[in-house]
Amino acid sequence: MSNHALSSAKPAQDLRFLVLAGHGLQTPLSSIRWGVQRLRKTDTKQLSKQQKHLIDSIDGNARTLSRVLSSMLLLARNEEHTYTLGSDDIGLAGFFKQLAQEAKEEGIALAVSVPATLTLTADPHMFSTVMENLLSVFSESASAPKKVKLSASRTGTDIHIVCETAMEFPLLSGDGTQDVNKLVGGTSGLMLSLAHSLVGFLDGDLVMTSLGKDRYKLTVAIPLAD
Amino acid sequence: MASTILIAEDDSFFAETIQLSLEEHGATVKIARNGEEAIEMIDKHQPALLLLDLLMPKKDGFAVLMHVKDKKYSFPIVILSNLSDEMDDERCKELGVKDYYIKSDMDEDELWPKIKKYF
Repeated sequence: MSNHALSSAKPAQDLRFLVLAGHGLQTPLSSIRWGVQRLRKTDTKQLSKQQKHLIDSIDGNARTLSRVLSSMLLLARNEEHTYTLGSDDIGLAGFFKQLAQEAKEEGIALAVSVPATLTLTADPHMFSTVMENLLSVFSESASAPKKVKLSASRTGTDIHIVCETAMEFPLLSGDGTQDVNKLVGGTSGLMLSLAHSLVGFLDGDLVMTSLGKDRYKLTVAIPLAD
Repeated sequence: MASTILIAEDDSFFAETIQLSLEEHGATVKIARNGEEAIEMIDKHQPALLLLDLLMPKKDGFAVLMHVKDKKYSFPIVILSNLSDEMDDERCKELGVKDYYIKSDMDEDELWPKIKKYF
């Protein structure tokens, strides 16, 4: 095989590896979740408050990891062309309203601001999955805030989806903006990886801006279809 | 094994969790750790229901499905996998699978309501 063919083949091999590795991680994660769910069924009088909290944390983090992995796998499969993204017009107002209801059931106060007529062309299943995964980071991490502002607007040739909340992670630059590719770790890292999934599916750009006092604005700018 | 559920799953902890969950509902449950073991157990005694993972060592779930089809066994088969490819779902349905569930999309207490109709 020529060097050119080898270098061409490598990204496809990397993707295949990612897909297979991802599937390999999913089952142990599922087993952690199911095992913890069974623990929760234990007579809770036998568990201390700290033990119950630990169980909740393990379950929450396992769910979040599983969802992040799902998003990564879907991205990889899309790149690998084993999954074809659909294309429908999604009414964002109605979609976010439903998301707010689901968030409320999970203990998150999601304040939504979206023009009634704003639509986004995307694969509805993927968009739904990524947005739900984004919220799961807030609901399933004990250290994550429970109040989120979610808005969307059309600005010129883009749709901006903005998520604003209080998050704890250090700013690496002093000018109020953040290179999101440099942020790693913790709840913020998970949120960013999920937001990156959104960007990947919708071919958008991601910017995080400090609003001061540990509040950050995460903006996904999605170009409108021609 | 006329009233037995056979679980073919290579993750031991996950298989045992499913076993405990189903036994709570009165089922008798056996576990096969890979496709080869699953085929051996099926050939000895056909189960009332097979819960089948797809990615397994030695022989995978598709090999098990092909074997069941070749032998013309008639017990119901439900897939429990983390493979979420539509092609895998279609391929399994063509091989006679009753249902296809993604493990990572389910909670532990959702399994019995989904499978009891086949048992």
